[in-house]
Amino acid sequence: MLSGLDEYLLSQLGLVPQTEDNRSVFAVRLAQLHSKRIDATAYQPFYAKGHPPKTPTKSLEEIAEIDKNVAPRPANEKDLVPYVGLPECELTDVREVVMRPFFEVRGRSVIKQGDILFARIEPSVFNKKYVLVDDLKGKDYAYTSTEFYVVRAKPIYVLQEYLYAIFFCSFVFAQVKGKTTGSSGRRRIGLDLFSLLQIPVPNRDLQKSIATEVSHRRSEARRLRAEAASDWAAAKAHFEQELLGKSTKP
Amino acid sequence: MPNVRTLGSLISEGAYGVLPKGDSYLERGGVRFLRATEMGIDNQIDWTSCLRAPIEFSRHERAKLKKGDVLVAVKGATIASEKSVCLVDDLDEPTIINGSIFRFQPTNEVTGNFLLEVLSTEFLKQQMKGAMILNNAVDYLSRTILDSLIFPLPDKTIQKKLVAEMKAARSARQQKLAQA
Repeated sequence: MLSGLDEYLLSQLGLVPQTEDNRSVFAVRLAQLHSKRIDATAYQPFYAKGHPPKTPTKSLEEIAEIDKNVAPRPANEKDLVPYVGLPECELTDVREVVMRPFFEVRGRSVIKQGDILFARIEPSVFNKKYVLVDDLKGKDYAYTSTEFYVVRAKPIYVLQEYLYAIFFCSFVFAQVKGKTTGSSGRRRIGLDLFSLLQIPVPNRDLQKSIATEVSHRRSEARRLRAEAASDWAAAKAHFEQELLGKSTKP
Repeated sequence: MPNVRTLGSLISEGAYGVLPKGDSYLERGGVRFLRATEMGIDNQIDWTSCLRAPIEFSRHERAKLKKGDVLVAVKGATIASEKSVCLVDDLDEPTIINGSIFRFQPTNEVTGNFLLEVLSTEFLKQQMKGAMILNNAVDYLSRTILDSLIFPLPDKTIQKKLVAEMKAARSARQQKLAQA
């Protein structure tokens, strides 16, 4: 399902599998560096030499809004507000919305129905923890962890469901891996480099077709995960029963 | 009568790890350093995300991992979670553990695999959650608490059968999750 998504996306978009590019000599425009970081790894070309993408690409900051939502300010600092952090999310879904005092989450990003949550810190950034917020459990908004970027497609360029799908593609993931910085165990992708991710932007029909396929795969993956959880719970209950009951009787 | 035992009576040797300073980690060299963060669900240890600690920490014999060690996360939110117990099936490189992990070797009466399953039951988790204490505002499982955890110990034939059943269930779950 979602694990086989990459192959499907690469073939639909006419892209070749990407690996991290370790070229140490390459050219970038001076404007890209102005007032920004200057470490070479942050600017390495992301596609294999001689294999530029057949689908046109645009930077993420051009086709999407990042961390732009706002929420109404509560009357009191101690008022409870909805919150969704990493522990409240499965790999691709919001599991629960908890309530936290406003003063604890003030200043953090806000998520709304339909947003993409992109986990930016190790290990989630390497586990592809990308959540499509399609169920906020009846809330209009929720504050979220600083460990997520909140992404919303600009409709004139891309469909939100397509943008969500393309984050799973190795073409984008190779860039993410190449742009993480920090020491081992604490690596993360900064907002400046996240904004520069090159996203393939095919025609609207292909976007729709990919979005539909991904939606189907996501439902099926959800069903398999629920089944796995239920079978596992039954196995654990059986073990406990054997341990505490039958097996211990003289 | 059930053969009710304490965990302490089934530990032949065990200890907590060490706590190097946050700024002492190395990019390479030194010794592999395992934290509770690397302990995952389904008895998975993510060796690739281990940090490296200065080699002088290797002098702490108690913190050195051994093949067959059972690991229990003893600090913070990880206590009694799905990621709180692991078994070191294999060890391809010298490794030390940090202070948020308690490692131990079981006695001959019990297998590590069986203890892995027992320590993952709700029955044991409830005991851990009920007994944990606050240490510098962080929940903590002391050696005294760990030693006092109780459970019935079936004979080795039944231990083996239960472990085999759980192994099959775990494998089925992993297959489904991989498909998803």
